[in-house]
Amino acid sequence: MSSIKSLANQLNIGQFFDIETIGRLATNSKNLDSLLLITTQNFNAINHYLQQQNRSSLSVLLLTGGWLEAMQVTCQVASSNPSHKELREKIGEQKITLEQILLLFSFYESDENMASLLSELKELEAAFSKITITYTYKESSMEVVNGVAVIKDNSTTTIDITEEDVRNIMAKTNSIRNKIIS
Amino acid sequence: MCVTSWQKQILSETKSLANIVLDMKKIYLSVVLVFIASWGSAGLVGQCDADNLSNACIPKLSGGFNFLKSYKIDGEGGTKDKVEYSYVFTKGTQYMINLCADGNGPDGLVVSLYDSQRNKVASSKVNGQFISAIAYPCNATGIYYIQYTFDGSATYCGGSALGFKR
Repeated sequence: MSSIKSLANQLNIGQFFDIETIGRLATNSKNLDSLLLITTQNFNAINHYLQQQNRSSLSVLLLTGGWLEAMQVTCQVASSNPSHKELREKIGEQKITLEQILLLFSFYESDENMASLLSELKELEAAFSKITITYTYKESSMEVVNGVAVIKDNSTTTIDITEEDVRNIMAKTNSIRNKIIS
Repeated sequence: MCVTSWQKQILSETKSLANIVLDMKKIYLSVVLVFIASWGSAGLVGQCDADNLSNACIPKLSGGFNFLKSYKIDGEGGTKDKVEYSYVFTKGTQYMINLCADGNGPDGLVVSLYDSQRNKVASSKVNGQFISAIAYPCNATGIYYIQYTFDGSATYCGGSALGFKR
């Protein structure tokens, strides 16, 4: 927690981190909803602040760092459970998220601080290239239940990803993460 | 006696004229004040506090949905016909998008959800009825477009929150 506070202070966004509250919530799994709400609201507030300060590239780096960390953990768990299809698919569908991250990076192509990470992310994109996501659209239906329009989604996606793909993605993710933290 | 009577009449008519002028001044002043007041309030109506409305929408995410993102809906008094955002939805996750406007209902605000191929998959206007929230159990991972439109809205202003649960 002290590392988070120190890092946030160095980035001049320390005012958004109530470390005491976050620490208290993080120690009890019953508080995960509150923790999620606080961290989401925090990120939105930080993003808004950084945009006002013309430091929006930092928002993109924060987002990318969080995503890479989650990817690394998921890949580790998936490698320990190679037969877990759902976990593999969860990794595979991150291809779409990576596309969106790369789209964000494209706005900062002339930014030297972003260039090296962008180059790494493009290598990660290559590791995702063999994965196919097939989307089949079918018209949805809906009904109103207790004042809420509840949709029945009839479309589907199938994600084709092999264990080798997971290994390649994990290797590249670990490599990027190690470069960031070293 | 005759002169006095004539003088009295003149005096009385002068007073009546003065009263009429005074009344006209009052009327003129009232008209000006009403104009200024209505002009001022029109300016206030034109201001869209979408920030507040989107924040107000967050606690209205009911049924165990966790907050993800809030959206401002500012149709700039009708000059914009739609406001659009995008989000990556994943299969196996249920999403809720709600609407908040001044007053009780959604004030003609409609949220529609489009998939990556721009097929409409959900709308908060059902059989001509304006619904304040949609729940979308996602079955297909991909980028989705959350589009807000105005259908007979008085303020062209509102807020919205996106939540999820598994």
